[in-house]
Amino acid sequence: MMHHSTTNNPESGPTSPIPAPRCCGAAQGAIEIHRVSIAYGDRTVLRDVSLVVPPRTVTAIVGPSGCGKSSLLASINRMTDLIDGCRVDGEISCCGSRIRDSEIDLRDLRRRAGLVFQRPTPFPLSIAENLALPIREHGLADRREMQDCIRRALTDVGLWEEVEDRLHAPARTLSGGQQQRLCIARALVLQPDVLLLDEPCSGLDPISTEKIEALVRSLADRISIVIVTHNLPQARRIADRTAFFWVEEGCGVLVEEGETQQIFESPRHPLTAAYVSGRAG
Amino acid sequence: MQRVDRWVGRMLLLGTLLAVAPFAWMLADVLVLGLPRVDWSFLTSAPSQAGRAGGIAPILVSTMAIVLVAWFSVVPMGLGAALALVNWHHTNNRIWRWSSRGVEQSLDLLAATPSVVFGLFGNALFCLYLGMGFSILSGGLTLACMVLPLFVRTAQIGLRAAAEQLRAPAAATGLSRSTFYLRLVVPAASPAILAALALSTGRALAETAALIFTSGFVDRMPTTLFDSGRTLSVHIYDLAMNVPGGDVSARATAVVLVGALLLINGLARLVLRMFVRFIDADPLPA
Repeated sequence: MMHHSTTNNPESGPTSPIPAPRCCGAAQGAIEIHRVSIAYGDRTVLRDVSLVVPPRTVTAIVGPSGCGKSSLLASINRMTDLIDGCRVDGEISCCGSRIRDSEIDLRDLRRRAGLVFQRPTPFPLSIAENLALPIREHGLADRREMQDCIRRALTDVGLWEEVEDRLHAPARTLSGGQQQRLCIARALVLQPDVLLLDEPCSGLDPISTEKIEALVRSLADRISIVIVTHNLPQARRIADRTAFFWVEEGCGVLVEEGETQQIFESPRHPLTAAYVSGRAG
Repeated sequence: MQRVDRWVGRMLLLGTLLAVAPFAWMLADVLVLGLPRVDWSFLTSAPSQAGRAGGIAPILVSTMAIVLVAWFSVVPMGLGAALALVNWHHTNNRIWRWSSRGVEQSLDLLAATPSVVFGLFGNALFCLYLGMGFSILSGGLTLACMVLPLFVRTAQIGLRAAAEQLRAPAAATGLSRSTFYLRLVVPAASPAILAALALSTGRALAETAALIFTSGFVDRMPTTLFDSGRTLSVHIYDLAMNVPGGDVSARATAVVLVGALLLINGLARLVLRMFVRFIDADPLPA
């Protein structure tokens, strides 16, 4: 179920008459963001961001509130389409396909790039059905394999032992941390290449947070993960790379991006230094 | 201050009593005069002497038939309309959104239209133009037109709340629109849909004006949907207004009508509770 998918290779993406983005030089990332700006109506919230997320890494996006972190995350699998008046300019390619292509299959894009929200959003169904519904929808398993798929996903997120005797109980009877892990499992059953996490631990207690951090680390050898977080120590614990955003004239910009260790220990930009040491933000 | 508090408390109590009093009086009047007449034979025999004696069996059957006709037309049409409105409301297309607002406003206008207007409309459309005559079918369809706006607007509230809550996670999971609405939104909104149905049924059962011109007055046992038939409410109206000495029968019929309303509400709650356990939606507020 969770095997490494071949669609991760950018070269195997669909061929298209539109010229390839000129971005990023030699770096071939799971996600390539090239000169992206995001606006709600006439208010620009993010300006001219370029960022490459290498395959099978954890990338943390940190920065103060209102710097467009979540908007950038949502634009990667085009969840920004749901927001009225939201405009995304620039080029984003994800798992080898340019996401702004008019030909792109949005449902497949969102299967390959799963988004987990800040607040747990289980469907009002049973625990098992929360996973079975998306599996059936995308035709990823037949009836015999279904039980296996569900068990594997729940085991991956460390939920199996907690819920195996009540798989048919309503998902809302789970605790907040369990619900959030169920939502991650719901993204994982779809065999994604990329997992986008929008402050997944902000409403959770330390023990649930610890479990999700361990889960993120363990997933990183199979898929690429982008995690938006307010929690700097968390970024330092789990991220291979860190991108630091800042608000400039009411609009988010990318200040610095690199190896997590470098960002925290020898930041190049004075703003980054001030932020990671707690003097700004 | 304590004295003021006490006075305010008394005034509130008085207000409550004044509000409840007419209802209590009405219920007592109906029960004291009507209840002794209600027994098994009242429910199972045909009326005689224009309803002064005998029972209400054919009227019960006609009422059930008319309400069923109304249900079978309102539920599919109303659910479809409510879902379409919820869906349009969320499109990025301005024209659809504006037209959905226009539809909503006309529904609100229709919901506030006096029922006698629906009666005249039903008479013109179903009885005359479509040739159904004075019949249970005409009456049921007219009632359907009358309660449709109420049903759509009530169901829409629940559907919209469910859709707003579930839209983002469903999109992020790549669910199709039909899965989103049929497997998530409609089940999650089923308490609101059942509440809408119970409200609409109550309105339909209480109706007289719209039925007098459409399903007619005949108090014989109906054999097909094309027979005329009178409902409990029309029977009560007729006994009270047109039949001297019919007031005891009118009150007995009113007891049955109130009982039927309570029964339908109780059943709706029961179905809801079973359903809610099954689909895991938040139950109706008590």
